[in-house]
Amino acid sequence: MNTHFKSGNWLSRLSLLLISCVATTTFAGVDTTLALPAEGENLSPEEIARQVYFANHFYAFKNFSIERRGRTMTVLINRSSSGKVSSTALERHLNNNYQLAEDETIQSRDLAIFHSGKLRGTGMLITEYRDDEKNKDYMIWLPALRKIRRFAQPQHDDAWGGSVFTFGDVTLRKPDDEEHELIGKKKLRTCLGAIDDLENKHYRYVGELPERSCRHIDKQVYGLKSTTKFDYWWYDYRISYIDTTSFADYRTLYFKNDELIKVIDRDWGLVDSDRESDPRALFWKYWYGLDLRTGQESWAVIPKKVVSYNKKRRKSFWTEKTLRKIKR
Amino acid sequence: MRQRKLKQSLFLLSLLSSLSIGNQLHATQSGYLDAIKADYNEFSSGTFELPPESTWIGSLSTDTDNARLSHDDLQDFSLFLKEASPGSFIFYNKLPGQYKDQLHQQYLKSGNLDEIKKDIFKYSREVKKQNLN
Repeated sequence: MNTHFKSGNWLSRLSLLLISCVATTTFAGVDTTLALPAEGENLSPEEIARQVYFANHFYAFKNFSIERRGRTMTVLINRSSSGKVSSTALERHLNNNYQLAEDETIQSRDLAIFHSGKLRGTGMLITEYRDDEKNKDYMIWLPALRKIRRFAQPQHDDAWGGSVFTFGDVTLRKPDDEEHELIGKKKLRTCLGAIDDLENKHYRYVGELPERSCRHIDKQVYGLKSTTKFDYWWYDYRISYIDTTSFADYRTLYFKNDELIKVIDRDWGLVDSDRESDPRALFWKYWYGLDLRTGQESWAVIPKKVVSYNKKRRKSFWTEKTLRKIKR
Repeated sequence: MRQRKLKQSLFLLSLLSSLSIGNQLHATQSGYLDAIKADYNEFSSGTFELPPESTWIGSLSTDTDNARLSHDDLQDFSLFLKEASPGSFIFYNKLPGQYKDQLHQQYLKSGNLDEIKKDIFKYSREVKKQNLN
């Protein structure tokens, strides 16, 4: 299912990696103003799935950034089954604040800039429209050509930056793409995954890598079984562990023919400690993925100090102008 | 000739063994998977059966890192600022308590570190002026 890149086929690799590293905010019937359910309210599985989508697409914020602070940046680490490690550093800026009359057709704009590897100096701007029928705009700044090019939307099962995460996992999968069933409610019992050899190790771009996250243990979670509606799909169903208060999906287990084939763990942090604020206003601290078919591991680590939100930025920041300013 | 054949067969053997190792899961990964499976089984059985000697059930929970961006108390905020912006922290640290509180409250509201940094310098100038007077 994952896309494997041929050496030298840099353009396809570039397009996939670029597109992948930007989480778009697809409308998909999930409104940015989706209300937080009342405490103790019985939710249908579909409603839970929509709340998870809300949290994962940062709809609680006007804008949300994982930026660059000096040498510190978000890093995506991939480790193959043979132990070979590769990494990519990036920054990302998402704007959900398009409510004025002149830009009411726009749902969100998302800007990503890459700072390491072959993609260094490359940028991408995705425009998402409120009209579900309208295609998204994917604009990529290619530093070697010093030009902007447009790309088509990737497939759901394409690999996200050569990682075990797919585009579907990261951004494209919508609540309506699956049938949902609530299998229970219980406490989360285990720590979230991490590349154990790299825990607490000094690493370029992030300073020190975190250790496995055990702080979510004993939090109450829903077990949500989501069966894909796609035919001949790479998984039959997946089980997600979803926080009953914040709707953070800590863990997702993927099954094919009733066999566990992939695990994705997400460590979430709460942005504001104010009790009256939206508990869905969350940020990712890290993503960890393990593909049991290949033994490949991926770890996307977002240092706390690069996260910012509701920043005063001109809307012109999310335009081609910024792409053209990127230095290689 | 024999030696060469022997060397070739040894090379092939080592290659095969490395390939098979490549497809196997790391020992820690299997411990992680055992913990996950035990956790998952709780949905159907209703009881969590602890995997023996697992390091994935919180025994390594030395995770003291606060998962929040903004902090309940001033001390946490100061530590965060020290880590995020050591230069601004030098000026922040010299400010009287009331300014620190004010900055903390502003950060809780806006979450905008750049604005906070500007305010640190603004307050530093204010304090300096007051001291001169």
